[in-house]
Amino acid sequence: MSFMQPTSANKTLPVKITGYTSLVDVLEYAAQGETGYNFYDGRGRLGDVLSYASLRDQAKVLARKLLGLGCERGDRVGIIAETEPMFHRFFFACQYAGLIPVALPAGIQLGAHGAYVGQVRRMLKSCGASIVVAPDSHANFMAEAVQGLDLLMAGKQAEFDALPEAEVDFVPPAADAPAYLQYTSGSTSFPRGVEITQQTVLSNLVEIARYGLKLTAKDRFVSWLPFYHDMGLVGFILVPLIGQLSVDYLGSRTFAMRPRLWLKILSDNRGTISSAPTFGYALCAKRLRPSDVETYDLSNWRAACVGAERISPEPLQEFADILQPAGFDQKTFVACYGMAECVLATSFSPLGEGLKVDVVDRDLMAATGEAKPYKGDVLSTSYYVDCGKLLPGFEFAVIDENGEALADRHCGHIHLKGPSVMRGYYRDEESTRKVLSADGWLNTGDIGYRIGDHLVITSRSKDVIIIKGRNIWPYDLEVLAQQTGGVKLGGVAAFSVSASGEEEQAILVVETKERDEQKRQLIIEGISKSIHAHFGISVLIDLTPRGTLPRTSSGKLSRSQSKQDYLARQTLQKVQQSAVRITESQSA
Amino acid sequence: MKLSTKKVAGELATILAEYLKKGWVDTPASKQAITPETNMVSNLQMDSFQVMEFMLEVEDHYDVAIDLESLSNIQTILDLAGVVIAAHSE
Repeated sequence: MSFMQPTSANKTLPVKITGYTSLVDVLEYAAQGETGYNFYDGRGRLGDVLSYASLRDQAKVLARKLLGLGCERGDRVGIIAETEPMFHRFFFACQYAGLIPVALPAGIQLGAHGAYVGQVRRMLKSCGASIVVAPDSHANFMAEAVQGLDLLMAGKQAEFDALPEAEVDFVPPAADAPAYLQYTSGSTSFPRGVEITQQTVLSNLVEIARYGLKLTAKDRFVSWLPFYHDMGLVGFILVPLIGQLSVDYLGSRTFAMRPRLWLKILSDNRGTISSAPTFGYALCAKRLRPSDVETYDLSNWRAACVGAERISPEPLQEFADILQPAGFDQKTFVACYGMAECVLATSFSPLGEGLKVDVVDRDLMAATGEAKPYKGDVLSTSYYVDCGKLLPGFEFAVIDENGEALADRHCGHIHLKGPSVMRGYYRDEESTRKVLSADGWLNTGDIGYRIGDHLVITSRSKDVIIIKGRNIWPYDLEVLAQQTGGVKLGGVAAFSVSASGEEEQAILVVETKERDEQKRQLIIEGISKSIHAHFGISVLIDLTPRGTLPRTSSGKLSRSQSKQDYLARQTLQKVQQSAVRITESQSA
Repeated sequence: MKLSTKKVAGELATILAEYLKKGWVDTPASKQAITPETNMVSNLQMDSFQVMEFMLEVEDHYDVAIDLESLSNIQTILDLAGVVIAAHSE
């Protein structure tokens, strides 16, 4: 009886990061070594091993089968992206066949059957997919999602494996041919697929590998991030590939159930690079027992990247403190900034230095946008994590409302330009024009300031609500609320609030003329239920009389003004409550 | 052995109440009493990580595996009890 072994490090194949023209090229080189992908199951046991060599062979066979279906170059292939070898096989089969893979979400929320099916269906329609494949666990959801769509084939992996191979020669893709579409950060009502070409993805991979992470042959990746996110797909499938390095995967659901397995695998396999949004580190720290810490050796972990949402230093410090006895050094944290529109990463804080927190005068910043360093001279402060220097291929500008460049330490809109910027949103010129200028500048939607050549982000995508690493568009929440009985069209404003260091909380201010307390409660419950079913998040709902939501001069609802009004009401309430308490204590 | 829906729902309500007491779920809604009719989606608003962790406890307790499709159709504790019983008799 032989036990499965995870792939090792390469013994002789030299690390080669540059000189490729397509992802196929990158895989062909990596396939000459011994490294690859390892999949751990729900109990943390090694379930599947997919070496780069085996992936190359399997992907080629599958590519011929897909081409046998009669698809044409550039056709889209939707892949429900579970953490299984299936995803890699289909992704790279598409690369060989000249098809465009599209990773589809695989996360299922409690009671969210209809919402999930609807989301997948909208994405398939948006990209005009010809082929869809699902793991067995998602086959029925897929069957519902594709009903009535004009497809060449939708099926399970085994059904594709049973197809005959076409006798075709692979044609290498052009540098400007799309490598994949990514549907991570967009409205679910109107999904937008970021179109990334071969040269665009290679440009970012090379920069991440060389300058961001400075990969060496000794590195080993560990991840639980889903492949339908840029951090999972690019960060933990493609970056390891371009460095010919091995990766150990844990499913995202497994991580949610047993977060400690993440650290166990890092320890057992001497992982050196792993990433998570802040909440991932926080969740793990919460569940750790002292007896676990004793068994871990995390001294090999050299880059613990943090990104995808606003970086909060406190939970990370807590994580580092708890795991210090296991050899985890807080200098391991690397702050990252990026977005799918730039493939993955645009900046990394310097390796081995830990998080650098910039403490500024909060009142001055709120009043003027100036991020003046705190010198013990003011009462209220805010702190932001320095996201480091931009990767060398990027230029950045921090500009004001009028498009004028701002000086150091002044908050403004962050714009980026460089070879890793997307071509646009797939078949969506209007959305593309809104964010991408004719001369190639991408308006990130994020707000921040510069300190020399370092970038500090103060808020991500002005309107976007980010909860547990997921981007949620206020518009989607508003649409759901408006579909609830008793709520008028246009009478809802969604935004999020966050106290310093705490997670964002989504707020919905809803106009209603209902005065009956019981009926008001029903409205609140109806909206909460619908939003929870679609997004798996809890929202605070604030009912307000008809006609009280603030509007701009053109009659458009103002979310930022709604938020300010809401915060003012909250403050007023607190003042009134404390006044009541004072009165009560005085009369007592 | 055949499990009764009522009995399992009662047990699940206890498991969930215990789970919520551990303090992971700190929302006003979580302070309410858990009954078989409690709707975990609209009444409790547990986030996806809390749901998965609670499901793990349920799976371990009954030694069953809850598939994604069943999960996507569960709203109340009673629904969950039905899924547990179906999985148990497989």
